[in-house]
Amino acid sequence: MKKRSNSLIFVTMLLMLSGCGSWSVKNNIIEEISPTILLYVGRGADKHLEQATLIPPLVEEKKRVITANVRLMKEGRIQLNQKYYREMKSGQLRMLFISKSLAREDILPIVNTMMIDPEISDRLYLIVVEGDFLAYLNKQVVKQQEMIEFYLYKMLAHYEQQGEITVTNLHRFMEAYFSPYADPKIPLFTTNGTDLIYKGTALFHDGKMVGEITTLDDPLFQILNRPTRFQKLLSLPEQRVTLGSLHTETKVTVQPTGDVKIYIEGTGRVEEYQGERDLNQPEAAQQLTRELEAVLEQKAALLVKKLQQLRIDPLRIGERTLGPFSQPYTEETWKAAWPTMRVHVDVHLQLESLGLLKMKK
Amino acid sequence: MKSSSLFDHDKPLQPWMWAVLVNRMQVGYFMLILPNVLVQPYMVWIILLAGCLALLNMWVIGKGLEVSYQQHETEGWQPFMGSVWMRLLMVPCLVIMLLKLIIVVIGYVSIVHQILFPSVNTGTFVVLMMFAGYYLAKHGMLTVLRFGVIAFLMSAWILVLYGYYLLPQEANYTHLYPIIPLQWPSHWFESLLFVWAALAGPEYFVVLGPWTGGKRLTKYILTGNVASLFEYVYFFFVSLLFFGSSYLKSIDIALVQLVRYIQLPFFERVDMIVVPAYMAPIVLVIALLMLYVYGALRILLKQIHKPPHARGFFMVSLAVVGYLLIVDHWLWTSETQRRMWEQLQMVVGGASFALTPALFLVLHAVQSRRRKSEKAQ
Repeated sequence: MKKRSNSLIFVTMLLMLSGCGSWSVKNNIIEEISPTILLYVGRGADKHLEQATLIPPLVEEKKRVITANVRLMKEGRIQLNQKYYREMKSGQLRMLFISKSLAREDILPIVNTMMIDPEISDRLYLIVVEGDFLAYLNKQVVKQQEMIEFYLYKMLAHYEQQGEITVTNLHRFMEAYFSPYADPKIPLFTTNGTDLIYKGTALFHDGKMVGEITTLDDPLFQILNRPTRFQKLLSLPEQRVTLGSLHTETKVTVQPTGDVKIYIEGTGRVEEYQGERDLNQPEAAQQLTRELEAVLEQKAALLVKKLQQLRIDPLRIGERTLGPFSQPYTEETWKAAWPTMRVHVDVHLQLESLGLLKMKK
Repeated sequence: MKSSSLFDHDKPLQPWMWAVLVNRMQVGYFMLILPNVLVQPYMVWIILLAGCLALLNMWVIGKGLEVSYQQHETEGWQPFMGSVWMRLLMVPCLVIMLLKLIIVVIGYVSIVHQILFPSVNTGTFVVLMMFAGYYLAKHGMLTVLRFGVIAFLMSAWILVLYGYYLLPQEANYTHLYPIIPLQWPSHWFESLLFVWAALAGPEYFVVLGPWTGGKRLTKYILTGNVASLFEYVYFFFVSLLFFGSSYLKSIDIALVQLVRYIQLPFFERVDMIVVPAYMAPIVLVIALLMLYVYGALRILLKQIHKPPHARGFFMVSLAVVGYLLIVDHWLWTSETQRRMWEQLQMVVGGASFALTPALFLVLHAVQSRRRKSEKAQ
């Protein structure tokens, strides 16, 4: 008798645990729903939000793009639902593409809507996209690129680990937004209709996109952004040289006088050289190293100058002023002081395999 | 499962189990919302300060347990059980216990509702939780106390999970700076009171002397408290490292938000496991409180000399469920009402934590003096 009552209780509890029965209002039978992976938001006509998603994800069925033109984010979800025979779920939403024109206005209300939804993970990747993203999606669908959104997701997940390009998720964006000594950044992609190309980093100030760092400056931005980094390739076309396997260590210190010192220590090797110097000569190799150091110093200084002009601090230099027992700048004083601070960049390079190939006969 | 076994104490509890019990009593709803209340990095000193004060209180509780065992052996309080004063004392005790039940049950249920099952009515969860508590309590006090070990095993592993956030990829250690307050912190007293109230819970053990077997338990109780203190500091640092103080302010339940960020390659919604795992210590508290409520009602209604009754306990539990459903339906519906209950529990729970053990010792002193004078006559 006791055993039977115990097992009865167990079965009832099991039944109540399973979420997809008809017992609750929420019905998650997989054949009846359509989890979305990608969502695009842009600025449509008369201040409306234009939203688009790809359906169905990961099912052997013809893919297509559906769009909605609404005023609110979640209103878009309702409209998208009404256009499609399966109910859409956002539990698997992994990427939010935001058009550049919308990003220039204010993306905070959109990001906030995503934050509030408990179904949506904080790992949702944010991407700013330039150009006609809908045309790109449509073309991919026509080209029978069945799993395009899945491939895009895998790409971002890969580079999030590698750190080669900027990758931002919802959490990192919000953390930087709220942090008194930081400003958010989001990867910027551009599309010409057929390809989606990584262009650089979109810089934000209070939820508005204020600037961008484009391709050649972007690796340098990544180096400045992290204390230690491994850069696979760094091309300097003007110097006709490509550095490879570059280990960098970046030390940023803010002097009590208010000067910012950035010291970059790099070790790597020359992987390509098309210049005039004969790198077999130690002096010539030395000269090249000095020249590259000077170029990198200049580029980095310009980059930081640009950030100062935009009055933003995505490199979190302000955080370096803090110590366990001191806080020389409050949020306001830092924001006032940062744009006019003097910045010294010092680059020190150690390059291997200079002149490994003896081209001269 | 005879009815008379509800308050059986034929076998004493292992001493180390008391450490586990104290620890699990202290990690409840308040611990989950602790990071949002403290926010600033230097508030870690408040946690440590409150923890050290709590250690003193724990020592008093340890003494109380010894006294309680003596009283049980000599049956010193048996004549007072039916007295008017004792019965009157049960009224505030009941109020305190019922208030704690609200925070424990509805606080947890609202988290589950918000994060796991937004489409299911909260009342259903209240009934389910209370049923689990009733089922456990029905097996008697000894089983409930032993369940503390299971509750510990079911929920302590979560600590390891949060270790992920101590690694530099996710953790930003500058969020901990400055760790000392550079100006006089505002709300420091409220924060202190909050941590104190969060550490409340073990004061309920002071009357459990019969289950101790007369052993000295002070060091075990202190160990349990130190473990909870470590857990508090750990959770506070983890959420601070990940969110930073200004972001932390705007987040509802940081610890759950943290769990939701973990994405294992084979399983993504880790919160589906972690949030229910916290149910174990909560069921422990529910079961314990239901037995206490039943015991207090027996004293209040002059039933103490009769053996405890299974049906009586069932009726009491039913009444408690009804009461919780009423609160859930009408009195805990909005954010402001939630704040109000939290404030109330902060004051009442904190006061009961501070006063109960001391009061217990005072009562003991009065009683033994009276007995001495009776003997002298």
